[in-house]
Amino acid sequence: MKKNKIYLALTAGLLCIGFLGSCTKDPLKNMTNDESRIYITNYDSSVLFNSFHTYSISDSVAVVRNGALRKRTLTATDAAFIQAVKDNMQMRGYQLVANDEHPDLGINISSVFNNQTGVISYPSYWGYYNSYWDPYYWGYGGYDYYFPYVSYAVYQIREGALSVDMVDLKDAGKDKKIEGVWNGLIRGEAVFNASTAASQVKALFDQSPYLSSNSNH
Amino acid sequence: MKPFKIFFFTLLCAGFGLPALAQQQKLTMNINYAVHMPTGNFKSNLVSKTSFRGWNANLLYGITDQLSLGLEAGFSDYYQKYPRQVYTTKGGAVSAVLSNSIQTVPVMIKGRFNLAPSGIVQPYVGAGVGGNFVSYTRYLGEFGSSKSGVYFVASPEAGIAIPFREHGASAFTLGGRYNFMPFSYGDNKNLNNWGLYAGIRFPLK
Repeated sequence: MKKNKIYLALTAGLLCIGFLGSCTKDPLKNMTNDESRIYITNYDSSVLFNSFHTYSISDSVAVVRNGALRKRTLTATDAAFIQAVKDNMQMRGYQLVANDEHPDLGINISSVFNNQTGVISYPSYWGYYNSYWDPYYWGYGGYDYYFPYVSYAVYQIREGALSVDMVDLKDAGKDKKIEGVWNGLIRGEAVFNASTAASQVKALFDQSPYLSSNSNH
Repeated sequence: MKPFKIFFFTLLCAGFGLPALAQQQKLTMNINYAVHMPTGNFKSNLVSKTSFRGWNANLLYGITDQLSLGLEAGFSDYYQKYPRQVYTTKGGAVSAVLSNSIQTVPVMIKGRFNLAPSGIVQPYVGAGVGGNFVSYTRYLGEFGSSKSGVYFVASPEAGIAIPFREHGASAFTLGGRYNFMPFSYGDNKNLNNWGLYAGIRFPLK
């Protein structure tokens, strides 16, 4: 009888341990691809975005892995993202021109893959920006890019990200620097998907109301 | 769950069956399924949904017919997902589905006072104080950041025990309690909640 009670207590103890492991609801198992994605935008608040009227966008997407340019691609997905940025820029009143027609703004799109883990602010991405996007493309050979804001992407890295970077070409003559004025970063599951490119880029623009050639910002 | 917590609770849970403790008089064990309802600050800032994933268990030694003292441990898992929203950050914005996942494991010294020890229905009041192991993870999309630590907990309770037979030590238990659980994360200052539980009590000797 006494033995049975001890066994009963031991069983209860084991059940306690089992409960600890099994009763927790895993948030990641209850998440769709869309819910997993986050959209991060940063901008230089001292910039007047209505002072820009024309822009140009790169004709391919840079694939950046661990801080180094691997290649440039123009897949169907890349084309969808480029087109989505064009559509949103047009809706905000900016006029698309060729890169040799002295655009006010330049836009680059990059696929960023980092194997590192931990909490980061993507310094390795912007730190080597010249190596992915040569300022020569915009007609400013020998210049350096400069991003005055720090990305707020302080989250653990698990997979790739898509970065849309907007640089100020109109004022690039000063200090031989090309300043980054806006960045949109998309992270999460199934980012690189042509069918959702438009909605993903729209999310970046929706949370950036100051991006307008007619705004008061 | 962190390894040290698993280790700690393995010891604690296994301890419920230690033969040495069972040698004492009037040693009872009470195991309950529990639901917890966040209140106040906890409810408005982190999780408003009731948690149906909880339990508590105590090991009490009868000092007198009415007063019992011992140890109690419990567990509760809270989870809530909020629809996508744009959050302003320094220099920009983040759009994300926000999920909060919180686990609390209070371990307390426990006292319980039986108001009618020979009744068919035995109402009781009790209280526990101790440490609360808290693990909190906030997810923006699928990206989580965690905070864990040990905090104070105090838990007054009231309930009834209905013995399975007259003067028997085994009983059905049903009760409620308020869990004071200080906690600090941003604007949130506590994890206070109401708890309801039901289970069985049985003697170990």
